[in-house]
Amino acid sequence: MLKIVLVVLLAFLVQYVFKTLLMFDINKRTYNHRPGPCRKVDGPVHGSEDIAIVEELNLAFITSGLVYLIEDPTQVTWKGQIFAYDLSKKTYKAESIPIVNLEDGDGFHPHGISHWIKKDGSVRLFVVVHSKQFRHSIAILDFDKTKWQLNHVKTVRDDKFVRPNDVVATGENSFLVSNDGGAQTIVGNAIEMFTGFFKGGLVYFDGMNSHYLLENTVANGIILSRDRKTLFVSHINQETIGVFAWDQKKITIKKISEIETLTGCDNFFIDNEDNLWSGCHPVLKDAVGHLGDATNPNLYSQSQVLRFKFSSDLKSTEMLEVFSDDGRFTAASAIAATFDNGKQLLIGTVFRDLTHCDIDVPLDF
Amino acid sequence: MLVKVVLFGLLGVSIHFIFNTLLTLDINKRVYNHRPGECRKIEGPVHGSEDIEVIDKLQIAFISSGLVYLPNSASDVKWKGQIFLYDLTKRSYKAEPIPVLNLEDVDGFHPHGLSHWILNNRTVRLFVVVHSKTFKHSIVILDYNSAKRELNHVKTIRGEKFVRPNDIVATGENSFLVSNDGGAQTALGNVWEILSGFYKGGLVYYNGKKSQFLMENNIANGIILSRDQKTLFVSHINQETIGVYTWNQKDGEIQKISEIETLTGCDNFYVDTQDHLWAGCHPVVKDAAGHLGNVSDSTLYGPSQVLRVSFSKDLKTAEIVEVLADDGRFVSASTIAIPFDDGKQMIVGTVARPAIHCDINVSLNLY
Repeated sequence: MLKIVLVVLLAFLVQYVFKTLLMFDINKRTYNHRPGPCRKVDGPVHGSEDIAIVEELNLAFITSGLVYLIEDPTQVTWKGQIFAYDLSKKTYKAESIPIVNLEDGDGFHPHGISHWIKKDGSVRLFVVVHSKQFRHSIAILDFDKTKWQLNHVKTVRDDKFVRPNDVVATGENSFLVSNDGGAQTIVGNAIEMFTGFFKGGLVYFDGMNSHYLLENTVANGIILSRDRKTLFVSHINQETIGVFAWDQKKITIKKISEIETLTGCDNFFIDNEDNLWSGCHPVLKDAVGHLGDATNPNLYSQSQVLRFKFSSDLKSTEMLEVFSDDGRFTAASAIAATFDNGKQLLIGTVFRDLTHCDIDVPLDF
Repeated sequence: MLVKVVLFGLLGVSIHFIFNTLLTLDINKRVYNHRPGECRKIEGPVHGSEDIEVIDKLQIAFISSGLVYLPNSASDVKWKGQIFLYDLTKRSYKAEPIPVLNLEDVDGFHPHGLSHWILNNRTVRLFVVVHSKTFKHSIVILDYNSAKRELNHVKTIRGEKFVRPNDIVATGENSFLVSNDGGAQTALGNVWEILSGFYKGGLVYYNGKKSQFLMENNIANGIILSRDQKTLFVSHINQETIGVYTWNQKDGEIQKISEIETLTGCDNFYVDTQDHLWAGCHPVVKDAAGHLGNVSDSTLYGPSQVLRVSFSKDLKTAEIVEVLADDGRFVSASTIAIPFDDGKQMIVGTVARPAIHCDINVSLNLY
């Protein structure tokens, strides 16, 4: 009897080790290719984790200076910033934009970003913010185009914002937030990853109250389709993309499909043809190494830009790899956004600079 | 007590073996499609385009088609072995089969690897690895008559060292290197060879009279020489590496320089005018094995990958760029890729399906 228990335990252990090694992508690598000439964008050096493209202004907002699962605030020697990049010129230079009236200027380390065009035509930004002590909030900022600054409007804190990663604006004061886990420390996060008992999820803030939409899962990048009816969620640790119908009136989501990608897709962008774009981490073991010691320039991890074209029933998708790099040029891509009718591409990274590429190859075939 | 130790040892070995086998099959890999420009299928070769040989001076490409590989029985082979000719100066996307005259065994001509040599009188001589329907092997030498657009049989060479020939590199008017990609002559034997790791392939040099082993108990798939004929590249496809060797033709010997890990099964090679090595590869073994095990089933396909490998001066390291990747629905199980028109165009051949012709609209020099 004891022998049977031991054999079962051994079998479980063997398959567990095997699955873990596969999860870490031990037999994978990237093969470099680019869709056209690519250049680095001056400005953001310590991260370009998320990008919000405001088509109306031909402008991109880029979050930089992320703090993530930090143990010791004194390690945070970099500054959190939001950069603005003019998409109508190929300046390859992004400017840091002043943020006025922040509650805690020193504790502003932006992560996910989303925007909403208000009734008066002005741009409102919703930003996931962490402090140096890894406290979380959602900052709402209005863009003053004339003075070229961001004005702080409100900071929203909530105990459901367990470990927020990305945000999607759904109105002038409402948004969806993803939690990419529950642990607040590196060790806790490792335990969460290894056990598979995820404590992340999805939260909807309606302007006053917050509601759980998904619990006990991992949600990284989130975005809504252009018609605001379909929600895409990156289950990055499971290497899948969840597709849900979103009913804002009823505050409900309903699962449509789950797309297996075999790569860790991070943040999302929807182009004007409703294709989903993502910056991905194709080799987890290298991503963990790089992101665990972000200031070490000798460590880097692979970048991958994928474009997903969904079937009309949203149950299957065609995956296209637009960009792939072993990390020496672009390390740990987190977001990819296209503009100029799909002829140009911006690639943001977790802790490094921003890449701007031309797209000279066909993407539809 | 000793029995328990032995049993645990065996258990450990078994787990390790299963683990490595699953990794070898690439169970957690997939291909993400991308193309370097517009691509189109080439009409003509429908049952394979396994090797392609470009004659720079004539701006033509020879394509071998109708491969027979580890057949279960001769009656399964319902297709014809052919060599196609493709004009690289026009975008005709159509290759013509070229007559092969005076063959000993017309019905048993199923070409595999190709290579060429320019004779003193400027004639193009083709060296072809040939299998019969019963999977007997030979090397066929053909001279190309460009006026009549036909291939004339010159000689057929058989040798016991041509155990299971795959690819060939001409080194002279009557000499060549041949790779053996294994020793087993049946599909089952091949599976056993792969699983056990006791490979019986290798590399053979035929000097015009005699053949000699240069490499034994190995896997050698695609082989090619650098433009200066001094460096030999060998695809160790099952180990997913590319072996780099110096080749000394006078002494008939090779010396190993390096072995590049690719994590993909690279098949045949081409060396371009800038000495970049191009390869058609199989990035996901389990899908390639499924497709190649039943090549007539059109619902099965294997992923394709084209890599350009650029070596350091000392030939010990390499930069790899992926030029094309396809899940197999457009181009299935790529084996060879050849750039032309100053690197602005490319043709890609497959084991058992049509070849494709692509434009290359992006720079491949990334570093």
